[in-house]
Amino acid sequence: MTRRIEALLAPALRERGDHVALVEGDQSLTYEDLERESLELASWLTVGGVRPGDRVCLALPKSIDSIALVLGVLRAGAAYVPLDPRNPPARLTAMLRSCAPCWLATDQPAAMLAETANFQMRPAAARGVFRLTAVRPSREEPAANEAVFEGARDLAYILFTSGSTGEPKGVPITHENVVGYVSWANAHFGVRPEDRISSHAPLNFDMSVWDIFGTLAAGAELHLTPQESNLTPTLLVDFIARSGLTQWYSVPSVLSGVAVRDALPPGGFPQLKRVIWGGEALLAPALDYWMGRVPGAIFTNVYGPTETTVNCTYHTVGHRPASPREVIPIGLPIPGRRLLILDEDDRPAPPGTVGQLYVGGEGMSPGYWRDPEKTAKAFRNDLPGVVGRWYRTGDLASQDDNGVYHFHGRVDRQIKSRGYRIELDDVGVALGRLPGLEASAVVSTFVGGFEGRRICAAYVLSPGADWTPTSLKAALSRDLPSYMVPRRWLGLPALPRGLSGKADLPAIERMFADG
Amino acid sequence: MADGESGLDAIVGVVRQLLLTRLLLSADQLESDLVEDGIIDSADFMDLFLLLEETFGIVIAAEDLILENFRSADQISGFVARKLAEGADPAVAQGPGRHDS
Repeated sequence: MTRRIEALLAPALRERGDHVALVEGDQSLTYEDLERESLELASWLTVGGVRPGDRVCLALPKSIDSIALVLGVLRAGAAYVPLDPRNPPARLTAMLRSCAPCWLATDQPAAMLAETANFQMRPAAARGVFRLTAVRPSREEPAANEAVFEGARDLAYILFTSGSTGEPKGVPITHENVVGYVSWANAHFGVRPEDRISSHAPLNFDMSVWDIFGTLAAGAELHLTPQESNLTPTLLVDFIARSGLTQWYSVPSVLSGVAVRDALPPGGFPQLKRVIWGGEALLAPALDYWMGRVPGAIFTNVYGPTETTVNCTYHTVGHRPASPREVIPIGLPIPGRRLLILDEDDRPAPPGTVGQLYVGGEGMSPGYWRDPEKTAKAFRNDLPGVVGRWYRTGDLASQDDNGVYHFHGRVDRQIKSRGYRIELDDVGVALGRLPGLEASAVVSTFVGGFEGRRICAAYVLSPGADWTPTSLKAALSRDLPSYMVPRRWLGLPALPRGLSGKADLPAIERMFADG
Repeated sequence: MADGESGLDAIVGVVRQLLLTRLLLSADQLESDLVEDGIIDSADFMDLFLLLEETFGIVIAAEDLILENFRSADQISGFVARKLAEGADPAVAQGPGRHDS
C-alpha cells in the first residue's frame, strides 16, 4: 500500500490532465498545472535548502497557491505546518518558536514576525519563503526532545491546538496516518472523479486534510469556500448551489446557521449527494431541516480528535430525527481504529455506562510536538488489562447494545465552539495576564443554534482600573484568535466562590445563562 | 414612527448603540467597513440579525442576508428603515419610535 501522500496523489496528478483540480472564485487550476506547479515549488524549496524532515510553516490563507505549496512541501520531503495568519503575532510566533528551526512561507510583513519572535531570518529560493532560526531557544526546544521525533521524515503535518496552559500544542501526523484515513474516507464516501467537493475548513483545521488530499487522490474538483460566503447563511447557500457541489463537509455551525435563518429553498441543492459534519454535535432540529430540504442526500456525522488523524468514528443517519431532542451518535470506529471506554479507575466501563473514551489502533499521532510530558499524559501504553498505545480523548462516551458509540461531553474544560477546539483555561490565562483585574473567570454556556457553546467571562476590577467589556475584548484580541475571545462579559464586585475558596464556575455559568 | 431623516437618524443612533454595547465594537471600528476590515465575523452576524429583529420588530428573511445591507452602521440602518417601511403591520412599524425619546 502507498504510504506517502504524494504517492497517493500521483496517479490523479499524472492522469487527470486538463481536468480541473482546484476552484477558487473565478480562478481554477487543472491537474496538469497543479502537477507542474507543485513540482516546481518542491525543487525551489529543495534548492533553497529545505531538506526531508524539515518543517515549513505556512502563515497563509487557503488558496489555490497555498494548496499547491502544501503539495510542493510534501514533495520536497518536508512537513507542512499550517498557521492561521489572522492569529495575533504573539500566538503565531509561539508556534513558530516551537517549530524552529523551520521555514516560513508568508505574505505578511515577515520582518515584523522575525522581530517579535527573536528569529534570525534569511530568504530562501522560493519567493515568500524564509528560513527561521530562533535566536533565543524557547523552553520547548531542548535538543533532547528531537529524539521523540526520530520519524520526522514520516511527518506530513503539524497542527496546533489550544492548550490549557496558554501555550498552543503541536500535533504531528504521519504520512501513513493520512494515507490510511483518506483511503478509507474516499472508499466510504464513494468519491468519484466527477465529484465537486467543498473546501470549507481552513488549512489549520484537520478537516481540510480530507478535503484536499481526498479530492485530489480521486481526481475530483475541490471548491474553496470564499471567505465572504461564510459570513451569512444565504451567501453560503448561494456558493453551494452555484458550484454544484456534490459533497459538503464542514463543522455543524454552518449547517445550523442555514437552518436557523431558513436559507435553503426546498430542492435547492439537486446535485448534493452527501453532507458530512464533524468537530462537534449537530443538533436534531438543524439535521431535520437539512434532511427535509435535501431529501436525496446521505448525512454522516464523523468524530475524532486531531490526535487521531481527522476522524476515528462515523455514523450515517438512517432517518430524520424522531424528536428535536434526539442526539446523533458518533457511531462506529473506522476499520483499523479501536475504541475503549474506561471508568475513573482505568477499568473498562460496563456497557451502557458513561466513561472516558480512549482511541487506539491505526491513525495515532506520535505524540505532542517536542512535549514528552504532555505526550506521556495523553498517550498511554500502560492501561491495565489492555495492550497497545491509547490516546486519552478527554471525551465522555458510552456504547449502546448495538455497539454504537455516543458522546456525552468532556471531563475537563475543553469546549467546541463553532467547531473550534478551545481550552477555556487557555482563554483564562490570557485574561489573567491583563493588569487591573482583581479576579476573572472564563466559562461557557450552551446556546445551541449557530454558536453551540459560547465563551463568557466574569471579572472583578482592581481599584482604579477602568476596563470595560469593549476594552477587554480589544485587549484579548491582541493575544488570542477571535474565536477564543469571550462573547459575553460581566463585571462583578466579587466572584462567587465555593467552600474551598475557588471560583464557583457553575454559579458564574448560571449568571450568563439568560443570554 | 418618525418619518424621513429624523426617523433614519433615530435608527442610526440605535444601530450604533447595538454595535457598541452588544457586539462590543470600538468607536473607531464603527467607522470601518465591517466586512472588508474583518470587524465582525459570522457569529457576530448571527447575533446582529437577532438583535435587529428583537430591537426593531422586523423579520429578516434569507434574501436580506447580503453583505451590502451590513457593511456599516449606515447601511444597516438603511436596511432597517426599508424593512420598517415594507412592514404592512403598523404595530411593527412603531419599533424605532420607542427609541426616539
